[in-house]
Amino acid sequence: MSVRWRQTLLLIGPVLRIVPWVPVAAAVLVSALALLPAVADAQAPASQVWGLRIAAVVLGAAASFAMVDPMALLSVTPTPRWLRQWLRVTVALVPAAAVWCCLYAAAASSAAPQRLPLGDLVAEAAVCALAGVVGAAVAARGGHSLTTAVAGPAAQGGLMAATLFLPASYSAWPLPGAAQWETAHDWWWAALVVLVVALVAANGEVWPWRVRRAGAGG
Amino acid sequence: MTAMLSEPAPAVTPARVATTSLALKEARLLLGTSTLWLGVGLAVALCTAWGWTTEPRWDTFTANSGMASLVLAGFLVLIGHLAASRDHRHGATDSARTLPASTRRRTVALLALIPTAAAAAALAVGAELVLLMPAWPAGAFDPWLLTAAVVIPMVGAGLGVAVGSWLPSTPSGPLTLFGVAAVLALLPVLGSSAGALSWLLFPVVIDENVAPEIPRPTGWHLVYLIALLVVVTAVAVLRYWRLVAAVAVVLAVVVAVVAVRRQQAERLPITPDTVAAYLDESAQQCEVRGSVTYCALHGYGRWISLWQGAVEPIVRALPPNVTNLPVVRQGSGPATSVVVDQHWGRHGTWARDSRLDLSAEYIRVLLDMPEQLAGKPGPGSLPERNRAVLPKGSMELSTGPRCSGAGQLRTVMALWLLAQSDTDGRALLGDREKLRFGRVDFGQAEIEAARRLLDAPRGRVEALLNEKWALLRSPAPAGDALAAFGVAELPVSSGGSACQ
Amino acid sequence: MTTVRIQGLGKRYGSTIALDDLDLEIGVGVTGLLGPNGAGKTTLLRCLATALAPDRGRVEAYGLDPAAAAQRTALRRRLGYLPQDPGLYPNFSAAALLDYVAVLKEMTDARRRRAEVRRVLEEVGLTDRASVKVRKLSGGMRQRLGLAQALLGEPDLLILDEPTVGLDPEQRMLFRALISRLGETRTVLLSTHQTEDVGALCERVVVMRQGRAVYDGTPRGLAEQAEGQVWLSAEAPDGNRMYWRNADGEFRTLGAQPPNGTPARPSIEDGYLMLLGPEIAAGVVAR
Repeated sequence: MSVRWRQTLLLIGPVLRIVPWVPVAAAVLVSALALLPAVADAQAPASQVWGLRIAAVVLGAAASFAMVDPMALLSVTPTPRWLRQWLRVTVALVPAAAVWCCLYAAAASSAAPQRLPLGDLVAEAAVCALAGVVGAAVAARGGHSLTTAVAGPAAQGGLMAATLFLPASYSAWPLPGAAQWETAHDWWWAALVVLVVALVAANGEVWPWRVRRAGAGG
Repeated sequence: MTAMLSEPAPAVTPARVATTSLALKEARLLLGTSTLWLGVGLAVALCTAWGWTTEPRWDTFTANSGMASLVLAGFLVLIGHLAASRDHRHGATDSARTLPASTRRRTVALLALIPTAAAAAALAVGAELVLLMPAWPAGAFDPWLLTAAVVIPMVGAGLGVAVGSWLPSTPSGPLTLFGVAAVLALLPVLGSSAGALSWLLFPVVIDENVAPEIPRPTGWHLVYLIALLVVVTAVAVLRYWRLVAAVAVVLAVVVAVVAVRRQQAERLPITPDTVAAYLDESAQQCEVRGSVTYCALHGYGRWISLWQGAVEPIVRALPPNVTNLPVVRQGSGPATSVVVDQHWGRHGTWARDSRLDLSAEYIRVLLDMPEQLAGKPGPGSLPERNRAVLPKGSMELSTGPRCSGAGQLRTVMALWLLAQSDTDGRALLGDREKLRFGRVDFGQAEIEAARRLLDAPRGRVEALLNEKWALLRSPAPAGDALAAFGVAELPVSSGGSACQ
Repeated sequence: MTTVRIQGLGKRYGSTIALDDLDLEIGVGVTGLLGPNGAGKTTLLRCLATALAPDRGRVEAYGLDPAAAAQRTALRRRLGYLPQDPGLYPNFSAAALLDYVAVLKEMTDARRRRAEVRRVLEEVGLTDRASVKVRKLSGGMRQRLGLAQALLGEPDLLILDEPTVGLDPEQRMLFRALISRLGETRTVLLSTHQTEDVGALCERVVVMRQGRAVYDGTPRGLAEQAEGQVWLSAEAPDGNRMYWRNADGEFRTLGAQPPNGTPARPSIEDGYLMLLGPEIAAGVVAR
């Protein structure tokens, strides 16, 4: 087994201890409350869809706090930054995704499948959650202070505020069966690709491509 | 003998002065925070964007402003939380404990964020109104709803301070914000109508006013919001004045419950019978412009010039001996009226679409073409395009079967008259989506005939109108009436599908 | 033997110049960095530790250039870094934290890792605190724990940013013994405000100001910057002079001879103050 794989396995335990779980627990509680009306009234697909959307945003906000690492000195160890950061992302997002899937299963158990199209709702949830993680990951490249901690929810807030400017016929938040559902979710999938690329870039080494050499007109 | 010399004790600043000074400092810190102004800017931008495409009305403006104020309130939750938890960050807890300003004084001073938030919110509302200019909201002005857009950010600031005082850890602020946003997002979804409890609990009154003078218990809604403000403020200081704060919370909750119940009780059920009196002719103020009578509901007088802009080009093309022109009416009235509702487009294509809709409808009534409704509206029924929210959802209309106006002279003249109402009539005739007259269908032949009339001198067409006016208001075929304009006899629809 | 070469190093934070075309060569042994706040010491150490990329210039340590990714990783295998604020995880025990850092330093063999953790805990005198959580350690113990993590893996290059902050005299003595021993075979670069540490530890001292090195030599040479400029007197001197009262109750003056002043042997601190010149003197006198 390569050094990196061994390191990955050895680091899982400590990272599980480092990631703050209180925000995640609070997010799970809020998400469950958001789905409660949906489970109580299965004939209202709007409440189920909105409950799942709210759950994704809140879980993503909680997961974004995992990107804060007060031990900045770790950047000078031979372990690549991408490995440490992706470990944090995985440890934070896997439980969040699992919780969301359970909530979806609870909502879908009483609703007709076409009311809750899984693929499209997964794209929405992934974008809503990843927006927070990407925001925090980008901020973490500049430091690990209070700004880093709130950058994730701020990024989510910015994304949602941007969608508020869209007119009703181009709404990013249609309900299943609405005329613009397909078009809106084409954009959601595109946004997901953009966010994944951004996360890959944000989790990389914090080092410029090129540093000017001494005497080179500097 | 030992003489003891003691230095005079330093003057002690009175507590009230010290607290006031600290409060003013907190207010200045808030006003200097770029995040606050980002929130104000975003709120103003959202309100402006949401109302960009329609002429403003007070009920929609206060709804948009209220929703935008929720966004500002969200910013203030975060800012309030950061301010209240400041003493717990970066190891400041110990050093803060040694200050003469106790945590109680510092928390009380933080409450200055609430009136400061009010000032920022008032500025935002003012900016939103200014950005409407030269337009101005129509309809009935409701001061309570406008004030609600100022109170909502105050509640956000108070909530932030309360949460920061009790839960100073960094994630608490954003998670509280998202939790509250989650609850608010679900409220309208849970309710099926504007009178549902969940809608009344929502901080913003978002249902549109069916008629300007319909009584709405918006005063009680403001009381409800103020009660929420008292609750969050009391929670913020609960640690220091337990009894007083607890009593205040209880009383405020009672007041909030009473306010919501009063809203439920005083809210007028929206049915055709209950709203009839607010939409019929007695509720309309009429004036004559040119030779057309325009009747507007209370507060919509300045829209008459908008309607006039759509109708006058048509009226100018009519023969001078044409009398009994249809009345343009906002509200219910005789079937000979042309009905407009409380929506009108603003800017660009939205304004144009509204003008064209009214022009087409005016022409339809003028030429007695079949209307959209299969039957005539009964007394007190709502105008067909009022998009009011009724119990059990929107009103269902019977559209009736479509009929064919092919080959009829009035169809061709209707198209020509409609082209007069637009700056580029020829281009308009090329856009089928815009050419609608009730349930009347027609084909390319009629459109081409109208184009021929556009190419001819206007005087000749007006002479034709004058000569054939009686025929125009009937489903008679054009025959050879248009031969002089190079239009061959138009094929007519056979059988029972022809419009009558 | 030169182990670290710095050529034309530059770094700017907005309009603030932190490093201004700095040239330096460092070899095996202990080198001290002195300078006022904002001189660029921490920025230099972070660049050397590969925690921060410079805007321009070149760094080479043990033949490795951190500008190249593979060499940067190779260099990180050979260095240990103690930053000003390590930000240690409060809920980890001392041993667990060191174990974590050891894994990050690619010590994946459990036995070797445990032995290494025991070794560094012993080096810094925290063996009996191995199972205590970081949040329960005193400030001085946390500083020693930070030093311990820098020592993991026996690095060739040790970069220590104000390592003696929070240490009591006994701990400082132990620290000096440890660093002196390490400096016999490794390159140690430390920044400090304590001129006594420089005198006790460093074979070489570099004084920085506004991103540049204004002195590079021995501690004795730094002290000699104030030769003939240090006076003792029983009374406070008059006029605009830089002076203070020492523990013996005498007034120590820098600069021109005061009335009834007797010459004193200059210390490293005296030389540092004379080197940094009139701006410090003016600031002291103004107060």
